[in-house]
Amino acid sequence: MKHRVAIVGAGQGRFGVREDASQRELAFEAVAAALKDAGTTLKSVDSMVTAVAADEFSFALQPSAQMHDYLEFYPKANFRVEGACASGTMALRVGWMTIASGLADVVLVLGTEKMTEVSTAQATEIMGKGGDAIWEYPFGMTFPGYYAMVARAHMAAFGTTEEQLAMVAVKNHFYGNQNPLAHMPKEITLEKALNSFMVAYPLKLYDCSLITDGAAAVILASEERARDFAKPPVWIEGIGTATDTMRIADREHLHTLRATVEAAKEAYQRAGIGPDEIDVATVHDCFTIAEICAYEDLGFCPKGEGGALIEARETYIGGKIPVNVDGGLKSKGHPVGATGVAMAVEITKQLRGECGSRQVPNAEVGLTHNVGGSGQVVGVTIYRKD
Amino acid sequence: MEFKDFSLFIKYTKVGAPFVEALASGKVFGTRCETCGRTFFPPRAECPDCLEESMTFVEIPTRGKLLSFTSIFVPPAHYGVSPPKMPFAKVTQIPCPVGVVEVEGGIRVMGWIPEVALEALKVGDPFEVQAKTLKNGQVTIVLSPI
Ligand SMILES: CC(C)(COP(=O)(O)OP(=O)(O)OC[C@H]1O[C@@H](n2cnc3c(N)ncnc32)[C@H](O)[C@@H]1OP(=O)(O)O)[C@@H](O)C(=O)NCCC(=O)NCCS
Ligand SMILES: [Zn+2]
Repeated sequence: MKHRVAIVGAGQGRFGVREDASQRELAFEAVAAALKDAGTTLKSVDSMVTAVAADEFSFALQPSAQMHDYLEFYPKANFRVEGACASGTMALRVGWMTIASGLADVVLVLGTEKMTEVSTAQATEIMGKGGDAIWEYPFGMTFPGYYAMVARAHMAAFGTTEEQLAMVAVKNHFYGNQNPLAHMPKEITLEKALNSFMVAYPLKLYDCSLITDGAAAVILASEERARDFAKPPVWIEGIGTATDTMRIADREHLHTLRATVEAAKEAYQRAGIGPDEIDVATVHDCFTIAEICAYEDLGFCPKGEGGALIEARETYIGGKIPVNVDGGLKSKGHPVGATGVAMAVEITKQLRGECGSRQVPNAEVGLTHNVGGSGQVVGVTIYRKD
Repeated sequence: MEFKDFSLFIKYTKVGAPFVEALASGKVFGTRCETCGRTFFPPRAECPDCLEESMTFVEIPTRGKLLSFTSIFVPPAHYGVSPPKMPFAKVTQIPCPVGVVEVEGGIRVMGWIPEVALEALKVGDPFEVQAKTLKNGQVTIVLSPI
């Protein structure tokens, strides 16, 4: 890309049901971790962007002001960016633009959501209305419901099985168990996943991501400043963003997230590489079927072969393309506004070789894939080790 | 005539009243742009191609095939049942399947599937779209096998 922007600091707080902390306190944990990682303080940060998906979870307007207030970041710039569950990646994009345009040299990108202060039924309603509130929600649609329709269509077209879906959950829990910041660090068996209760047919409990509280932050720097920090920079090599219809019913193929295909095409083109060159990826596994679609729509395998890819364990470390070795949204958790930033944190640490037992050996190029809603807006980002 | 609710926010649209009245009389309406002839479902008031507001309401085709379906066992608060007052008691809800039918001409219609058991549903089955008035006066769309 024309201007080079690097990640120079990355931090995440503990994901989980965080009854012990407010949203601004969660944000502080992540920002402090990112600043310490960069070996710097807020004094060196010129500008800030905050991702929060829903006011309904924050119980207050302008959640971003709560964040810059608690950080005492004022009077420097900060505002909120929203793209549903892709808010984090959209904030990263705005942070990138702020530097690429010359407006600032060092930018803090923060993502946070506190989802568990409402009941599951209320969270399900808030997110269900994130589909088309006029035309889809009247049929009792929920987020698991939208992806259940994706799953049914995928199964009918390609013979994908419930076992293959469950295998995604088994993998992500296997790696989540090795992530000290994960919401649900425990291994599960295929039987446990297959026998869990039905949420939206055919998706069961273990096909669903978690409802999570959490925050994540990265510090971005311009090429001129990228080497002024504690660790070697990780370069943002390509950004792609694309959109699709509000209603999933209007998609040409219900089993394909066209916005993923288009965002990936843009990101690969800007980075000048193809899917075969990706060493490690975090993809948006809000539901197990979504990870299988992502394998295909990102080009890790041909369309329709995502089920076979997980069955052959090709997305484990040692396979063709390790995916979500941080536990993914399934086991690490999915505080919606934080997720995209948390993905960038994971890839930064993977490319620096800091991930311990779940480190992908010699990872040089990474990819994050973050979906807003049921594919209304998607961001794909490609990163390269210095 | 009293406004027969279809969804939470449809009152506040330009197309809500005719759409809802049509459902009450057994018809499913889309809109057609008089300038370019493009048909829209769900109905909309403006054509994004022509930037014109010259729409007429038209009945959409109703026969087609089932594209996908689900049944939602964890409903939003709005659609759920309240917890029972009897200690230790449990209430379970048997949800009605929902699906999407593609009718002739390619329009996609979401609706309830009250007549078919979940296990018996298959993607690709021939289905028909019908307007339906519920006992409480609310109007909705159902999908029935042909
Ligand atoms: C699947 C879902 C409905 C379950 O929520 P729930 O019914 O309230 O579950 P509960 O909180 O009552 O928990 C029941 C048990 O399952 C566990 N659990 C909850 N969600 C889980 C999940 N997604 N996966 C695995 N276990 C889960 C709980 O820890 C609890 O375990 P315990 O009995 O050992 O304490 C909820 O997690 C959900 O809606 N997930 C999807 C979130 C979503 O749509 N995000 C946006 C996507 S873009
Ligand atoms: Zn027109």
